[in-house]
Amino acid sequence: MIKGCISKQVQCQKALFTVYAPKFMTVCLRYAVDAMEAEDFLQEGFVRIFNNLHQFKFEGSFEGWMRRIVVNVCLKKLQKKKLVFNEIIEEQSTVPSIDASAYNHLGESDLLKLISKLPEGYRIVFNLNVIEGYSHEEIAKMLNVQPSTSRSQLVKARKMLQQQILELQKVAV
Amino acid sequence: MTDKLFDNFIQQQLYHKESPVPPGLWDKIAAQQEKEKPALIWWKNPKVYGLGFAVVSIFLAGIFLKKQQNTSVAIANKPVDNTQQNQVINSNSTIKNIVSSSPSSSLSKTNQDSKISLSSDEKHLANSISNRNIVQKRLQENKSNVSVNSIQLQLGENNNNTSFSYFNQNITSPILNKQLDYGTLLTDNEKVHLSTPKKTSNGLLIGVSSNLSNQLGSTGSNANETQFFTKSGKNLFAATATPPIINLRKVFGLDDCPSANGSFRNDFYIEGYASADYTMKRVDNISTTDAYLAKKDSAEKMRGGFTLGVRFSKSISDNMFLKAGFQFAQMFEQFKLTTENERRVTTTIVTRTLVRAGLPDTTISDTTSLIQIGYRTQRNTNLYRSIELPILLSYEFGKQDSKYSFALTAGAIINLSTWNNGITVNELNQIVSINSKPTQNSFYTHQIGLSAYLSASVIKQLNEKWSFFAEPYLRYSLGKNNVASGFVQQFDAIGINFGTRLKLNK
Repeated sequence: MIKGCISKQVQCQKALFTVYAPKFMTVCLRYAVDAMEAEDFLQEGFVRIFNNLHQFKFEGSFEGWMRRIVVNVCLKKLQKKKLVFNEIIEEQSTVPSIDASAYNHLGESDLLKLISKLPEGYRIVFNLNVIEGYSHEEIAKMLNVQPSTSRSQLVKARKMLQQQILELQKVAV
Repeated sequence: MTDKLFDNFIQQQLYHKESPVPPGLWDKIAAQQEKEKPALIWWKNPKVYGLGFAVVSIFLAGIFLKKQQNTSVAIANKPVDNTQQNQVINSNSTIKNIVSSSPSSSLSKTNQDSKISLSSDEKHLANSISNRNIVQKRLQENKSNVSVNSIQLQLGENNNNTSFSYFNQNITSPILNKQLDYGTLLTDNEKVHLSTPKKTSNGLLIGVSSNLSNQLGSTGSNANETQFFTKSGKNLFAATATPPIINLRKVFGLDDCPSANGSFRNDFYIEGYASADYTMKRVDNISTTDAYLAKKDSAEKMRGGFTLGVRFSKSISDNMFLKAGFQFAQMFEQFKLTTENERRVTTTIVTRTLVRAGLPDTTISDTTSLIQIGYRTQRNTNLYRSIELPILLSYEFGKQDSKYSFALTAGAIINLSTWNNGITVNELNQIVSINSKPTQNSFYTHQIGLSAYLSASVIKQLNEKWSFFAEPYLRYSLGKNNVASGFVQQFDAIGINFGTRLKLNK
């Protein structure tokens, strides 16, 4: 299928799209503000995958390679919109510990919604570090910021997300 | 739950999560791909340049070798003494007897471009020869002391039983020093009858009687010329094949007579030229991040350049030239980088406390931030200057003194020295100088590179000494520099050289 895509066979490209588009749609939804923006990201991501497939060296995970491209596309698109890393002052310095059982009621869609409500800078750093697994140094290079900024954004993002989960838990109770 | 566990939980939940894909997205992607399909995809493919360069080089080398071969044949065809002639004949494996031994037999032969036909029934041709007076002419070969006593043109009806070999009318005889005409060649013991020209699909053919069938030989080594001579070594005549509709030998100048400068063209020229260049830059990542290169790429735009040069051109054959000289090339690059240099944040926090019976109080903070960002844009025109040594091989089509000629040129441009002037951005988003001095601290390495050069030119001869030429060219960089900075960048250019050339010899 990969070789077919390299030789620009439309059927192979469509098959690749069918297999991986749902996963990458989630990736785009995590970075985008809304579904329309995520669709744009995914479209651009697949076009870039097809255009650069000949550079894949058949080493390592193919899905990982494609995911990196999609993530890079998302970041590039966001950077065009002047990516801003807000320093939000929190009144409550500590978040009460959440019991692990509280997550049992938390669905994937709920988590996705909570993450999408995070401020842009928080959301991106959180996605890159926690979900994609990039280190703070890598994130700093990708976003053109200092590693310390990435760390602080992650801490605050995590704290805010936990607070929101707590709020959700309270409402549920 | 610790942060680590929290992170793991989130990752497990979301990393492989699938979401519904909007319908019609594939159609959009397919449409965008079709739209973005580059019309000139070959333009960025280095293999295309390599292939083109190789084809032209092989073509030029082939013509050169062919020319050399023809030159040796020409030397062999010069009148020489019998011993020398026989040596040439014996050393040439393509010597063939072309005329049958029996007057009644016939033989047809096609030797590359030479078209030779033999026929046994030529009475109608002999009968058609009109009555003419006998003309005698005494000839003597140049170097050999073997003399051809006379050539006698006789009436055709005397030769009714003669068999003829046919050759194109465009025949020259070293003996007659003119094109063969109908009649009979008489020597002491040899007699050759020449018929009137006969119009065929191969052109006007003239028949040569086979009286000397056992004594005629030919060299078929030349592309479209066959030398005929007797076995005793007399150079009798040359048969030239019918010229094709497009005579490439003529176009390539292979049939030209030796020039006034000798059997080899021995001209040398000096050429001065200038060109406006469209420049392109290729950047490959070695050990840096794609994000950095993307930033660098967005900050830098090539803005053309120019080349000034002078080179000497020396003919190494009638059509082949070796060229070498010096040229100065300068490329311009526009650098523009916008960076954030000031940020002001105004934050407004509204705090509310929710009090619910039986539940702990909850404090909700609504935070509004106003961020003002100041940007600084830095602009500069970067200069890349080089002194280069072009070493080129050129093939000129057409005759030496023709008003217009066309040339193909290929070769290498050796970059002797490069010095840069300007700024760029480094991985830390800092502005750094690219002023190149051969020191270790230079951002761009000071390195000698190599480029392949390919051009096609039109030359207009203004007078005996001066010519004007226009030479569209392509140069493709083969050398790589800036490896020390984590990437390599190569500069290519297309342009048109306009110049004049002065013939230095008389």
